[in-house]
Order: sequence, then structure tokens, then C-alpha cells
Amino acid sequence: MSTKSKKDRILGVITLLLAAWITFLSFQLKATGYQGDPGPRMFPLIGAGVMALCGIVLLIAPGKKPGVFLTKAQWASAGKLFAVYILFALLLWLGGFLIAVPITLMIVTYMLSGLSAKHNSRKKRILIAVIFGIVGGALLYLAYVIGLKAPMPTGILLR
Amino acid sequence: MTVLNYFIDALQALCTFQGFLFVVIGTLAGVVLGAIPGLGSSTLMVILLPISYRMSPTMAMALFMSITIGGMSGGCIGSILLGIPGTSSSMVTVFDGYEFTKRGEPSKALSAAVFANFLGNVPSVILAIAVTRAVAAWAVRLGPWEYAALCFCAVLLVVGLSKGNMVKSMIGVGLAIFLASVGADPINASGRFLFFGRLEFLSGFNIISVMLGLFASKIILLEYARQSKVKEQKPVKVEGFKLPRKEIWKNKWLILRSWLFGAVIGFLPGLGGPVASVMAYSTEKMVAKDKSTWGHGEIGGVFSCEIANNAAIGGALIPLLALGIPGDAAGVQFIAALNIQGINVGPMFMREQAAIVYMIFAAALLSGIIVFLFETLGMKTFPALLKIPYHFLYSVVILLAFLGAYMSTGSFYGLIVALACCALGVAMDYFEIPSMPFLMAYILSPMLELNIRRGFNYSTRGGAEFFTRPFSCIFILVGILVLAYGFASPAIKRAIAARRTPKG
Repeated sequence: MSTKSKKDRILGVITLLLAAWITFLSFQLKATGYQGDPGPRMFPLIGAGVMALCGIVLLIAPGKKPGVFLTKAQWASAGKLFAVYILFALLLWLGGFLIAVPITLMIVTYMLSGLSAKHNSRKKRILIAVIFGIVGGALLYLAYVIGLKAPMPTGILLR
Repeated sequence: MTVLNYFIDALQALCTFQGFLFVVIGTLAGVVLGAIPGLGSSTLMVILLPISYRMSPTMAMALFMSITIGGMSGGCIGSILLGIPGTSSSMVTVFDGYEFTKRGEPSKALSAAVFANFLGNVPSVILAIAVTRAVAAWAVRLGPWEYAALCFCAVLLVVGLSKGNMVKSMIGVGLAIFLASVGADPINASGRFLFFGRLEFLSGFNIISVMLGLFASKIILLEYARQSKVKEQKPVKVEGFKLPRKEIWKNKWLILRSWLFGAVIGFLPGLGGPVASVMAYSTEKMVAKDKSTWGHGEIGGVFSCEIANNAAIGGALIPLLALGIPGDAAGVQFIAALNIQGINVGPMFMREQAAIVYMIFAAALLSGIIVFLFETLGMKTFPALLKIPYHFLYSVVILLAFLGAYMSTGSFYGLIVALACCALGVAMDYFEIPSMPFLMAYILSPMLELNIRRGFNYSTRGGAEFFTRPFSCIFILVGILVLAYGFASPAIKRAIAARRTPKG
């Protein structure tokens, strides 16, 4: 079995494609017209050049095979929490601060309480999550909306 | 106004109820979050960034400085009591610190670490006060050529001197340069890379949203996925603080050397506490008469890394305040916090914003004293700090991070950027792309581009001016040499090892 990292080769390909895309986009930028100015495309082209060079190096000489980053189960857990992050953004857009914050707090607290050996009972975890969601949500509302007077979204459905 | 006037003004502001409260709360919150493995005080600073625009710039800086000092000191608590470092700066403290806990003497290691924190931090801040003014006076004479070369050198130093794969660090730099290019052109403000024709991209990717995604939300996502908090800690009994007089006297030269290591490494961009503590520990172990005790509960091991990482704070303040070059991740957050207030950090910062500069120094000294008092008087409470329920803390941090991202732009754009950066952060971790070179390049890119282009515009000789001006040329050469050394050093080490190994 090869001891070279397949991951590095994939990164090399991604980096090269990204560099090509940045180069394509950069050449569509128009020059400023100021005398001596290298123009707006110079800097992103430097970034693309650095990436292209590194991509080639990774393709030619990939590193050793790394250890497992996350197992399949761990990827699934990460995916679940990321889905909650997206859910929060959607709830904030649809229902605003008052709906999104307590619901997300409840879900995240319930999910994370599974990490604690003290809270094994499902019922207890739900109860703790609901109470914390309501109390935490109220405290965050007091802090942000009333204390800081931060303009928070009210939600397109509740307008 | 003289330096003393500014300093007295800053101290007066900190002696008001509000000022003192900010420093005390910031310091204590920093200690608590610094002690908790995985989270760290930088997460607290990132989630406070969007709120800081409501504070006065001086008070915001006092708060951030106190969190930094508290966080750096608190990092050793997790290292010594759990064997899990609270922060990356206290990683090496585990080697000897945790050995003391295993043999039932946690107070001995904690007392040494607490005193080392104070010894490292306060003198380094005094050094920063003494040196920053002189560096800033020199910095105002720099033109765009020197300033661009300095930014270039800083980015290459981070890549060249940091651990990990250099090629991947450079990929991070390239990516950061591209992402920083999105938005208004720094010379004529025309739009660059406005994807799907959306005008939101004109403001670029807000550094706060980027950091909230790359740090706070990604850290919790990976902590949850790896379930690293499932293991409950064993109960540890900690006695009160005992000044380790004999050990201090016995290790006086080690203390001095470690402090110098910390201050000098802190000065170099992007290295900060983690590298300072590793370098100090490995050097002291190398020069120790009896190496066999190191790693098995040697008090010098605790002293060396805790003094070095705290001394790095003062060292890092010098380039940050005199040149606008962040020395570590905390420095990046300071620049972001000042940008929120509409203040640009650069060579003129010390001259134009002296009140803020001296507030940072005064807050650093005051919080150094507060943290020492808290840790000496409250040492018995340390085990309780590590028992804070993670599910409450983490869920609040996630919410604060995303609300902060929304607040940073006042629209969903900031939130979407934070979500995208969280995914980017996971991808970077997956491909082992270090985040520090990325972050350093991202924060310095606007300054770098602006000064490169100004350099071309102001010059009659095009790019040659960058190499004909002495300081500019020196900075460029140093950057290239450090990068070349970084690439060549594994091969050099292999060649030396091959020579030493007897043939046959």
C-alpha cells in the first residue's frame, strides 16, 4: 500500500483548480488607469500564483499518509451540528430573534448534554435543554435587544 | 502630553468603577476560559468583538487586554490539573506540571506556574512600554515600500518559523490573499469579485465573521464531533498558594533565559506564546545538568514555559502598537476591535492614538496584578473552574458567535460568511492547513496591497524601489531567507542526522 497521502494529492488538484479560477476572474478586472499602478488584478494573481505553485508541489511530492481526521460517526455528528447552525440562520430569517435563539439553544444544549456523563437520562436532558433554552433566550434578549439596543431581525413571517 | 501624563490618565480611567470592573471581569473571564481546554480566551474575545463597538475604544482595549492576560495565565490550570492544556501556550506545561498532580502535589506546580505568570508578564509589559515609543518613532519614517516589505516579511516569518507543512501554510496564505481581495479596490474603490453581482461583497469578508466562523463555531463543531468532553475528570484537591522561594532562587538563570526567549519570540510576528514556551522548555531541558528529571515533575519545566508564554505578551505588544503588525492571534483581534471603532493600526497609531496605547499598557499591568492576586488567593477554587458544564457554555458560545456575526454587518451576510468560514475551517483542518498563516495573511493583506500599489504609484522606477531602499530590501531578504530556511531545514536536519549515524 502507498504511504503517500491521497489527501495531499486531492488538495493539490483543488488548489490548482482554485488558482485557475482566481486567474480567470482576475483577468476580467479592469485596470485603474493610474500611471504606474499595477492594477486591481495584481494582488489576487499573486495569491493564485502562490496557490498554483503549492498545488503542483503537493501533486509531485505529497506528504506521508496522515492519521484519521474524523471517523464516519464523528463526521455524522459534525454534520448534525452544522445542520443546526444552518437551521439557526433559517429560523433567524423566518422567525427572528425571539424564535431562533431559544429553539437553537434548546437543540444545541440537548445535543451537547449528551457529552456529559452526568446527564444520561433522555428525559432529564430534554427538561434541562427546554429550561435553559427559555432562560438563556430571555437573558440574551435582555443583553442584546434591551441592553445593547442591537437591531436584531424580527423575522419575515412575523413582520 | 508626555508619556507619564498619558499613563496617569489611563490609570485614572481604570480606577473608576467602570474601568476597574472591565479589567476585573475581563481578567477573571480570561482565566476561566483559558483554563477550560478547547475553548480558550481567544474565543471570548472573538465573540465580544461585535459588542465592543458599543464601548469606548479605550475601555474596549482595556477589556481585551485583561482577557488576554487572564487567558494566558489560566491556560496552566488545565495543563496541571487535568493534563490537558487550556491553551496552546500551556501545552508544554503538561509534561512536568501534570506529573506533580499525579503524585499528589498539584499546589506546588500551580504555585510555581502562578508566580511564573506574574514574573513573565509584568516585566515584559514594562519592556514594551520602554521600547514601543522608540520603534514607533522609527516607524513613522517608513514609506509604502518599507511598510509593504515589513508586511511581506511578517507573513513569510509566520510561514517559515511556524510548525507544520510549509507548502500547506503557503496555500493558506494564497487563499487569504484571494479572500482579502474580495470587495472594494483599495486605490479606486471599484468592486472586485462581486459574486452573483451581489453588492454585499463590496465590503469584503468582515474579519469578525471570518474569525467567528474559523474559531468559535468550528472549535465547538469539532469538539462535539470528537466527543472530547465525555471523560469526566478525577477529583483533585488543591491547597493554597505557597511562594516557591527556594525553587525561584535555584532556577534564577532559567527564569531569566526563559523570559528573554518569551519577549524576543513574542516580538516576531505570528509566533507568540505557543512557540515561546516550546523553545524555552526545550532549551532549558537541553542545558539542564540532570535531564532525567525533566518530564517527570521538574519545577524548572513549569517555570520555563509559563514564564516564556507570558513574556511573549509584552513582546507581541511592541510590533502591534508601533507598526500595526500583530504578534499573535490576540493581536489580530486587537486590530479587528480597533477597526470596528474606525481606528486604523499602523505606524501613526502611537502618535495619533496615544491614549489607547497607554490604556493597553496600563490595563496589562493592572490585570497582571489582579490575576496574580486572584490566582494566589483563589487557588483552592481551581478544580471548580474545570467543572463548568460544557453543554451550557458551548451552546451560549455558539449563539453569541452567530449573533455577533449578524451584528458585525447588521445583515444576514455576516452570518452566512461565518457559516461559510466554519466549513472552510473544518476543510482547512482536514487538509492540515494551519490557520495562523491564513489569519496573518488575511489581516495584513489590505495593508500589503495598498502599500505595494502606493509604492509603484509614487515611484519613478517601478518595483525597483522596493530593493533599492535599505530597510525595504532588508525586510524582503529576511522574509525570503526565513522561508527558504523553513523549506530547507528538514533536509539539513536529515543530512546532519545521517552524518552522525555510524555507517554499517
